[in-house]
Amino acid sequence: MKLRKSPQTSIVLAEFLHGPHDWKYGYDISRNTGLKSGTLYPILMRLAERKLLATRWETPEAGKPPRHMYKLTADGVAYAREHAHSPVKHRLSRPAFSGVKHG
Amino acid sequence: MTMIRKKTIRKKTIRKFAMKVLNAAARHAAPGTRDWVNAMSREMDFIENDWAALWWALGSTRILFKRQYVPLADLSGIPRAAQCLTKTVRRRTISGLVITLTEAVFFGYFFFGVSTAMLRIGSALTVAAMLYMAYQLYARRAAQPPLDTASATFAYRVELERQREFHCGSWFWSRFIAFLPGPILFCVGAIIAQPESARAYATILAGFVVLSIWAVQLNLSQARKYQRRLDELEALQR
Repeated sequence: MKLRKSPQTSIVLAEFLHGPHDWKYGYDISRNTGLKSGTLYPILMRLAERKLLATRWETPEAGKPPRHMYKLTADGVAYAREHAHSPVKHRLSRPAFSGVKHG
Repeated sequence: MTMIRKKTIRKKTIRKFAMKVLNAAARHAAPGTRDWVNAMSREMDFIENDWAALWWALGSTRILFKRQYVPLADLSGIPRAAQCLTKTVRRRTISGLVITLTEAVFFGYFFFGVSTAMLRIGSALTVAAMLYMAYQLYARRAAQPPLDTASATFAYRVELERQREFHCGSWFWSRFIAFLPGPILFCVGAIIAQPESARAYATILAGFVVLSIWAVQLNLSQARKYQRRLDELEALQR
């Protein structure tokens, strides 16, 4: 499957380049990029399909449901460095959602 | 006090509705997409604002429309993939039968109503082609797949092969060849019988030819899609 190099994909890649070795949560990426869930997740799915993104479920803590986490693979980091837009230039004007519960 | 209570109830209702939306999305998601919808569902617990949670949940439904199919990660998703395939084929069978039988009735009516031999032959051939298509649709209807992984895997493979054959090879080409002459003869007959409306019938004929070419493309692309799934299944079983 082809990876569409849309501006939104570039924004997501740029977000991952902030700490390329850290696992990130979907909602945090959405807040930081301003992308809505319906836009963000298909991008994450395409990146994972192309093996550019590693995914895993967080080890559950007592009483807390596990969260899905994402991190660029080595290929993903190389691809992101090539294709990511500057997040400052391209970040959307305001975050998609507000009001985070820090878990 | 009452105002605060009302507000709390409203907030709970919004959150509840958002959860229901996500649960429904998870139920209807394709096997490979389900994990992602679950991931979105988990994230919702960290969204404090109820309206934001609702928008987040609604975004998950977009995934269902955007992403029809995601490759299976492992064999455990096969029973559900088999069920999804069965549902798709059933929908196709029902809508196909409705269309073909309606057309058969429509052209059957023309058979008795038209004056020239060519129009009558065109109608009769179209009715025969429609009945043949209905037979094919019925013959290639899907069976309910078993629930255990081993049997479901076998059933899934068989169903994929059956559906691939439906869209290419002798099944498809015989259907296609059977379908062509009737409407062509009917339109040519109509042009001869009513020269004053020749342009309109010629346009219909041209439209029919374009649709036929599109139907070939569509069927072959469907056959390729089923072949890709078969390849994917084989890779999983290795």
